[in-house]
Amino acid sequence: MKRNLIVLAVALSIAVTSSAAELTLDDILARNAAARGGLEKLHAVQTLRLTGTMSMHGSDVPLTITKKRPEKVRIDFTLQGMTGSRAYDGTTGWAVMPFMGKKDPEVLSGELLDQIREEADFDGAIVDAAKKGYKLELLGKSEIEGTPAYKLHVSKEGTVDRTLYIDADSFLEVRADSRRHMHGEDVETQTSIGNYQEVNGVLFAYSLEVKRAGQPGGQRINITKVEVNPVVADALFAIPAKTAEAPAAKPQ
Amino acid sequence: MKKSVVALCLAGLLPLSTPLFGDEPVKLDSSTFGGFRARAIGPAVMGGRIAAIDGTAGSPSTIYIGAASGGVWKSTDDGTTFKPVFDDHIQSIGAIAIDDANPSTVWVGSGESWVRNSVSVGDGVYKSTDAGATWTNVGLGDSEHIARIVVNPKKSDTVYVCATGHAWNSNEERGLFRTTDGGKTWKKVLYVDTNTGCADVTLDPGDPNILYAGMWQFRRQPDFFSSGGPGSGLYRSKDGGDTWEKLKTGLPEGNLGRIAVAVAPSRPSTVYAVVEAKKTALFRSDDLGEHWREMNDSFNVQVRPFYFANIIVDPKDHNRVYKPGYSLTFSDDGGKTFSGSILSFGNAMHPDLHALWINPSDPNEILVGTDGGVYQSRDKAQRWRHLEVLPVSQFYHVAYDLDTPYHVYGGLQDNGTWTGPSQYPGGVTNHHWRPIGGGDGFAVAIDSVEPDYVYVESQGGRIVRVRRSTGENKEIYPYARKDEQKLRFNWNTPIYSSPTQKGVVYLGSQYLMRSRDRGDSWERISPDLTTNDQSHQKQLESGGLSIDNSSAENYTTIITISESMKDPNTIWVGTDDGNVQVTRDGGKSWTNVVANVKGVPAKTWVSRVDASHADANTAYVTFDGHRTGDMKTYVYRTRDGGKTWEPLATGDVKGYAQVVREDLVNPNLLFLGTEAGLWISLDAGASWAQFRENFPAVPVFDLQLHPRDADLLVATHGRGIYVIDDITPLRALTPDALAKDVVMLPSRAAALKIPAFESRSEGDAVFSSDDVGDVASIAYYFKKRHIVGDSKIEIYDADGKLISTLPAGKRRGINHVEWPMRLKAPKMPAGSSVIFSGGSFTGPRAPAGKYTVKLIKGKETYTSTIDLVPDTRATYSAEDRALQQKSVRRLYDMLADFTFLTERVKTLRDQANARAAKLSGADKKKLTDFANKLDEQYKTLVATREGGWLSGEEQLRERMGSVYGAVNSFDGRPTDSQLAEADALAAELAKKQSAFDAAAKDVDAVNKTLAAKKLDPIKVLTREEWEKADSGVIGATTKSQFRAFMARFFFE
Repeated sequence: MKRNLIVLAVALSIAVTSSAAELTLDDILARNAAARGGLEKLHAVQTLRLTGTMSMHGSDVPLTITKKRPEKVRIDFTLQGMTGSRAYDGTTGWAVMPFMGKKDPEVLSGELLDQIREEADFDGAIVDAAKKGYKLELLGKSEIEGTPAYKLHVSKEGTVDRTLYIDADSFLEVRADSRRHMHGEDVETQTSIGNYQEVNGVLFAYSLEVKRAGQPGGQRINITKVEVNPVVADALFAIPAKTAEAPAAKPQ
Repeated sequence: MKKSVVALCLAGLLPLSTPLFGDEPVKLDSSTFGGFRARAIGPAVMGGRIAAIDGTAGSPSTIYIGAASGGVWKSTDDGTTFKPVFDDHIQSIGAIAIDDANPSTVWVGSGESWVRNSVSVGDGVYKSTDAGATWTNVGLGDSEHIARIVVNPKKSDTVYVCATGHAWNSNEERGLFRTTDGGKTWKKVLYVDTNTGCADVTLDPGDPNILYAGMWQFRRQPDFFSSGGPGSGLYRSKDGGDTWEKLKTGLPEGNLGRIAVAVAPSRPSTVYAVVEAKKTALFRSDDLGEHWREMNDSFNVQVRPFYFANIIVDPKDHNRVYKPGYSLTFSDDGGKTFSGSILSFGNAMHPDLHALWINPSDPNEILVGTDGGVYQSRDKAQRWRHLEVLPVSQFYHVAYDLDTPYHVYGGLQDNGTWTGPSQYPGGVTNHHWRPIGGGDGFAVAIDSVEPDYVYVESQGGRIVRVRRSTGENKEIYPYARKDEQKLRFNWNTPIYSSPTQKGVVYLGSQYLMRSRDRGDSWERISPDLTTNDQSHQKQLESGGLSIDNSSAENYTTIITISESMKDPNTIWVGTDDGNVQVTRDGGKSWTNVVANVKGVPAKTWVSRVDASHADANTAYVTFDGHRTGDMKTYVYRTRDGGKTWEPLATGDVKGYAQVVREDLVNPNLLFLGTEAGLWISLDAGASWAQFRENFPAVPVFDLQLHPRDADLLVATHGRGIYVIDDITPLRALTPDALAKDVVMLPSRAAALKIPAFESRSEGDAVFSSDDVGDVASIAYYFKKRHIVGDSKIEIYDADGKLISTLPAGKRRGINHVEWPMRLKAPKMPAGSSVIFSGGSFTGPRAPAGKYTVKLIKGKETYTSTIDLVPDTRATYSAEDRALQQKSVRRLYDMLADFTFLTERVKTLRDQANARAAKLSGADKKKLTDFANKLDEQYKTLVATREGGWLSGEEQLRERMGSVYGAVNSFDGRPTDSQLAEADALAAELAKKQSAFDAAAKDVDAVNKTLAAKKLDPIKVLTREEWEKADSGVIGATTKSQFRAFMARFFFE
């Protein structure tokens, strides 16, 4: 309860210092950070483990996302008892996809490496954006699917080109449209973000719906458990040695 | 303030659902329909009219295609695939121009300039500076039709727009316009009068200050077309458009008509012009237009200038000239002679050519836009490939049958009549569509007694009865009897099947005609219902300089018919000359009630009458005045049989109205098709919102509601047929419901469709619709977007057992969540590769019955139900179905038991190995032997050899997964062999379990050894522990879906 009151206090102090009609980019970023629980609390999260499912074509695949500052990430999912992984250890991106019989890791490069590096960004682009080299631009107050939202553009060194929508009421990020150049083709993916819930004083999105622009379906990632600051060894993110034995171990 | 409210909610001081300021009235808007997704089913196989093409130099060229009323399409892969890039804007396209100096800048002139009777209108000039990603309207909004745009090759900001102007009335925003500031401002640099527009412009690439323009006086009317007059002429400017001179030397005397003009890029002193005159011909000048000489007057040069006035010169050969027309002809001798003749059209392409683009860097590559789509040549117009990926077909009407899945039918501009399935496993593709009628196609009626018979037509009422199964055709066009005037049939003649009287078909000339014997005889059941104003029956003289009587101007005819479902003696008829007639006695007497409609100019074309499905005194009428320049939306309803009418069009609606339909179930739910798109009202027409979900702002010419499946069928004139699947949720979304925070909405019963798929690898150069999939749709409404707190859907069976949990949609408005109607995927241990057998990826199907749906949103729970029903096509007995369900369930449970066993063997082995590594000597051997014994067992359970799925190794896992997949992919009786295999697997599993139990007896002894060495004991996995560590399975049903899944995991 005490931490919630702090959130409230931060929010109120922002609310009285700027007019809702003419929010600047900095105002919006500050309100977003406050809505998430405040920068201090966000920074206090050093490791993170998200457990849930990825749904596509109706069925669920168990999924675990593990993150560690400054920029380590590992994503594991399991199907027919076999676990596939993608990860970035701060230097090297790699993947293991054992489903057709190949159990050795493959090093990621090019667009795939850019993508896993983006996913390794611990807090997402708009927290400490400038420090991390993102360029942010406020495109104005707009709407997303009929809901008023602030529209932001995020870019970074030609690798990130994303439009973000910050809900004008809660100041939480509700949608990210990301444009990538994949295999010679421009691809836009739309991610709807929601089901924010609080863990350790920080709001985390428990739901992500990812689809390609203009296409039906897509996948829904549903988080069932968020663990803040679990003990996570660096080795989890390191590329496994080549092995003929078994797929990379699932994180415990 | 708002922020603090959210914080208070987060702090738990206020529940998230607390309304602070009371329920505000909620306005319907486009986002309300957000959970729907219109499904384009094509067809793309015949294309549709193309009005403009431009491309970049080089290979592959970036190509932009402008459809007559289907938007702009872009290809970056040499025409293999196209993306629509203009869906947020008006869909009628007249001109496209890429700035060659900066190809990211693209100009689009909206409003096709091939001003046929069915031509759409535009709303000005658009500019993109990001290669088509976004567009800005930069002016000339009242030009309506734009024939050509040219960009100064040396000054990108100097652009000329050749605005044909209004077709149906006079206006001032027409002529040649110039911008010198990239579209910020426009100057009208060449103008004749309010009846004369610009038909073509060309620029000298060597000296871009030299321009030639063809000015055209013309007028279209509902009953007449006139091309030519004193306003027409060929002009030249030598100062970038500041001043102009009319060119005359060598050109025809007297009134001229539409003029096409083109500079030869490789020798700009040579200029070609096709000049419509008393004798239309091709002219050529070799001195910058000073002197002209007639070169050729062959059929294809002369034919229909209003539709084909176009001339293109090869970029590298000034004597190679292309004349798109009825067909494609070309000259290699500077216009003296042309290939082909009227008898040998010479091309394998659809007739009626409107656009031709030659790759400037490779003149062998040519694209041609026709009434039937785009053709591509790589050999300088010798052989042609049809690009069958552009779903820009222009439907006039849509009809349906009651097959499963049902078929849709409709007639198209210059592309006959087609039929195709409303859905197909994997999607509706080109090869599913079938032509069943020729000419221009319009209305289709399905015989209500014998649906194998359908009625189709070509222009002017040429009705044909087609037997679908055999392809048999019988022409059943009625002729005037000796006491009758000549029958007058509209270009788009109504054919109408009675909704209540079996076998009754209506046809409209100036009389309403009825047949009860499939068109073998027709009876007249009305007097002339039109004005019969003979001053409007001069189509024999229509055309102006070039007589053009194709029946397109037939007038004073019946255009729309509707019989009441509540009273078959009540029939409504609308005429093109503005009469609304009704009979209440089956045709014995008729009353013209149009005078009771207030606010519509006299003689305004009645585009549709629609009798209410709920009440015999209620009917709807739309009027369309655009043929006299009146672009207003006119929608009216009577509730007293036509005595009084109330207007229903509000300021929310745009575009002249083509069709209105009342829902079959909820009379307050109305659908309206206009020139600008599709609109829906939930409150009987008091307010409207545009439907935009995967649906462009395209002209909507017809709407039908499928009575069994509750689908809305949308016939677009420019983007083919769209299906909006299952509008049942809309029927419950009343204005009261809109004001509530959360409303569960009903859906139609979900059929447990016969599992079917077809494996096709057709490449990318085909059109395919979205697949509807094998899902039940759960619908609900949120007044506000759900952002904070949990949300999910739970499905419970009749016993109250939770069988599925699904992520919930969160957007404002309608949400749809798809439930695949299956249990969780089966458990399976890891092997050397995934198993691809049939239904091995999916859980068993939920049986037919009623299921409870719970929406959990924060702390609130909302409940509804969904019905699962068997596929009506299934032939297997209830016993067979029960046996299948029992068998698949047995194998499903067996897989779980087997997976548990495998995990026990594996985990015990791994523990033993781990301990062995810490021991030495006899103890080590003891542990290693124990582990090896388990490993031997493990290797008989799952395939372990290297090589993945290519190793071919089959152990218990592979056999069990395979037979489970086979039994799970067919809903009827499993084969005897499958049942026997299941028995054999059960016996083997029991043996393996015994073997493991026997081995596990040694655990105590092993643990004593370990205890002596102070090592942790090894443990046998318990069922409880195993079930806690859930291992799910992907839900893809085919290899291609598996690949799609992997692609998404990787790339998105």
